[in-house]
Amino acid sequence: MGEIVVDVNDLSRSFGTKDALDHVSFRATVGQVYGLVGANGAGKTTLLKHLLGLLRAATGSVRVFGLDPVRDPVGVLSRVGYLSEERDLPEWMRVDELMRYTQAFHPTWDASFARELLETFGLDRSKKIKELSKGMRAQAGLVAAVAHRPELLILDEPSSGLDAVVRRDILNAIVRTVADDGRTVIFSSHLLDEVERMSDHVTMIHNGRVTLSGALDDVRHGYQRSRVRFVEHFDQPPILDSALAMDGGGRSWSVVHSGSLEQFRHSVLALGGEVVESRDATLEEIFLARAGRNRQQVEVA
Amino acid sequence: MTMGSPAFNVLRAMLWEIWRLTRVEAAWRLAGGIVGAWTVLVVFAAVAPDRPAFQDFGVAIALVVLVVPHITGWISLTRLTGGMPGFPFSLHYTLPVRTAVLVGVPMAYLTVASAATYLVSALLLRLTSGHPFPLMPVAAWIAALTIVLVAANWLSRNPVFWMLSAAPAVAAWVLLADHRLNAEEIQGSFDWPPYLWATRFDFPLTDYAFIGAIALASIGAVVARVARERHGDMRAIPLTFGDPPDDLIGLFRFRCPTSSPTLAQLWFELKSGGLPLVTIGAAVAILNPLIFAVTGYIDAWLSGMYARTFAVMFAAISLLILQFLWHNAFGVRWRRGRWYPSAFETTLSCGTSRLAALKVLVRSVCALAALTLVVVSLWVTLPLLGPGKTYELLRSGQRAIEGGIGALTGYQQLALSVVASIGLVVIVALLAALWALGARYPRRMNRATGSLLLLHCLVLFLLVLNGRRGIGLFVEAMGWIDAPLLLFATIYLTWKVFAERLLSLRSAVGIVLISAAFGAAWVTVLRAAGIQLAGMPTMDAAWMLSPSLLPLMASAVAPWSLSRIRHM
Amino acid sequence: MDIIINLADGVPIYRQIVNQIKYLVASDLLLPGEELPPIRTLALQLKVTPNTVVKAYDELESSGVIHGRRGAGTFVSDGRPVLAHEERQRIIEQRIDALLAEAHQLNFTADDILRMLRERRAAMKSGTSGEPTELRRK
Repeated sequence: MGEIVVDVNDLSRSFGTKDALDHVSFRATVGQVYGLVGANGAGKTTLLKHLLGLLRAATGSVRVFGLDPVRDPVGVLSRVGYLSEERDLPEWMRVDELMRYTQAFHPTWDASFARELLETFGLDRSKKIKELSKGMRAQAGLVAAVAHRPELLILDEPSSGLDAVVRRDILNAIVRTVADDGRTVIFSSHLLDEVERMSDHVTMIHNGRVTLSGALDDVRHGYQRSRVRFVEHFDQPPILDSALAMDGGGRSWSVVHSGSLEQFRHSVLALGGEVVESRDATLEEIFLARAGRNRQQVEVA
Repeated sequence: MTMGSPAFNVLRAMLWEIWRLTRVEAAWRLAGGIVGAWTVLVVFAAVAPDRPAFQDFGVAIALVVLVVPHITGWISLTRLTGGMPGFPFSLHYTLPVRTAVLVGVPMAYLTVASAATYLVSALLLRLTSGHPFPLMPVAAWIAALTIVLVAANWLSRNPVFWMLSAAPAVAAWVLLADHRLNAEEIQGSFDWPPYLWATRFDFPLTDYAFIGAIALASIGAVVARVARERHGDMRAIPLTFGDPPDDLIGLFRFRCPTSSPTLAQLWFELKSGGLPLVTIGAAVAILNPLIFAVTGYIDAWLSGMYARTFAVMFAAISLLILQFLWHNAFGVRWRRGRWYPSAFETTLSCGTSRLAALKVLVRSVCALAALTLVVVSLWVTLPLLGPGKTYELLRSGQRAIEGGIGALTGYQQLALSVVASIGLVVIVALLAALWALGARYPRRMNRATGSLLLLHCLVLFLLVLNGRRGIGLFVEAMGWIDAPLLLFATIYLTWKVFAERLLSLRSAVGIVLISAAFGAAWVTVLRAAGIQLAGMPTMDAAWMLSPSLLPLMASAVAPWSLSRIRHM
Repeated sequence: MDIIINLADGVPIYRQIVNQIKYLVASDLLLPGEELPPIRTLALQLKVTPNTVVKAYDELESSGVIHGRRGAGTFVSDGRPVLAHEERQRIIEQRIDALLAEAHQLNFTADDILRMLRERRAAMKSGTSGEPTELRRK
């Protein structure tokens, strides 16, 4: 258990009548990768903005490196690298000017690293930002974010709308940040296979509340996907204990369920069926199952 | 085209859309014109009920108030293009509608709406006040002006082009109005009193033909341009609002210093805002004398006062346009229907007060430089206008100012320059704060502005009821409200800024010293203007002295408002 | 190093890395004393978080498959044979479990499987190219 880098405690924030965050707590320790997942508008970007001081905490507290990002923006932002979908880079700046400008604000800037990254990405230093494509802008923003070797890297849906090459560059940057001297990464993404590969811990946010949080392997182990075969033919999905989502039809069904495997086996046997095979669910299956269940709950209510 | 046919449905849909987009603005124009005209009539009646010439002047001003809302273009449509000029319905290019219809229907609607708004308000005023407010002729004028202004807005996406075409259009229209109305001189009053309106506004048929021709030409030009854009011959992407053109920024190439964040931010401010402004000022400073010289030649050839009037108007407009230079120093930009601060700048690893100070100072120094260039060039090259009535007028004004300043002692001249320069910094800071707060709390700012205006009107009303008359009315009303408001705002903001630890003690000491210097200079200027503070009633004296609080308030409100948009 | 990560496998990523490295060692594709890639390189190659690779290497080290020398990299240990046998047995047992489950789905009994096993083995030994046994059904 290392030093705590980010400490969010009971954070709530609403915009007008909408509750964007509802008593959210989140802790990040040094050297780990944290993945944030959730539906659009669930509150991931809002949470990340609080870490950067872009939003004030209405109730609760936010501490990054032990400092309040609103009270002490320089102390926090000088040690943080930030990349988001709408980075708003000044259109008139050239790439090399952007590098020099960012360098002035971060004394830990590594010029050779920056040069190496620019060469790897193949970015033309004399081009203006407005002449770059979306992918190249993301790459330029990435260099500006990681070249000063930040202690905390915050990525808000960095891969959205980008091609595979740029996505690979971003993932590599995450790896390098963590592998070199154990720095911390927090990123939110819709691409669940990315989150699954790259996260040590995963946090799922739904409607402003944290619905799942823990080490990725533990979370996955808490959910199983089983293939079930029944003697009878079922038109509607059979009611099974702790089942979250069911696929299939007739006699063969594929079920995502939480909780103990034994209990599930019992309930299957009780309905005259058997579990053919069982494995840990993937993050995408968990996410879809929970989202589907929540939608069902809303409809019932 | 029958009811229910596809063409009719299309027309109905387009009309519905543009009605939805402009209905609020149309309502404001109507209400604003009527209420404004009534207020003018009431105020003039209250201030000097026994001077008929003055009353006539008031009625003329009421007419002007009715017309003025239509001299600007329709603002609600520019929201679709992010505040920039250009055809706002570019999203409709894929609809099965001919370009002529796509352009013609909105233009026709706007024209008719402007003319109809004026007609209704003029009719209402005519019925309630009994003065012969002109109907059709002025409505036709307004229709023509609307067509030309909409055309100027839709012909190009380049804001410079729009300014260069809209300004002369308005200038030409004002000149035409002036020419028609002041056709005969009348002793003892201005040249178009209400009792003569029936004849003055009776335009010959040639005028209407001229209006019709201009309208057709404008519509044709816009249709051609939009057709080119629609079929890919020209780009349809609007530029971002609030940034100087990139070519201007690219003119200055000097390396960004990497040794300190303050120097790097200074480089940023100079490149992105400050130096382009100075360039614009320099360009205007060179352009004005050239226009003076050229129009001097033209008028010498035409032996009259035609082109030079246009030159003077252009010089006045250029001074007006320059005042846009010191707006929005914190750089909030328009995106997706709202004003946002730039995400790049809000996540800079730089203290809020330092950022605010750098932005305000660079912008004001550069604005001061630009302004100085333009004023000096106008001052020195005025003789290029050549002899004539306008020149004599301006020259006598120039001599009066020179005499006034020459009569001051060196110390007083220094005080005047201190007040002017610190005053400009204060203006830039206050405007930046207004833009920032307007972006952050749009509804609250609207309510605050509205209530402030209402408060002023209320106090004015109470004073009139109390039997007070004369121009001193307005000064008194402001004295009752503005001085206490300024004091309260200064105290509140200073407390807030210290509570949030936005300013350090060292910068606070510096600000107090500068405010003291400004206060001393202000008192000196007041004395030089002949205002004796000792002999005035306390309220008036307090109001006269209150501007010395401005530097203090500006240096508190600037970092506080920037903090509001950096940390929402 | 030829490692493939399958997210839909149901097996945690670090475990897949552990299994595949053990397999490589067991089948002599990784020789004793050979150096394994550093954590960061393997993480970049597999596109996984380095902490997963750390976990995998830690488990491999605690079960004696590899050992690391401070600052000098990670190497495959000697003492291969015992592990190799256990590993190989475990791998085959996994395959047999999957085969039995599949057979049950397709309505074959264990005896059918045993019979087909012998038939396939005879076919392989006699060198005839594999026609599916099903075509030679009675």
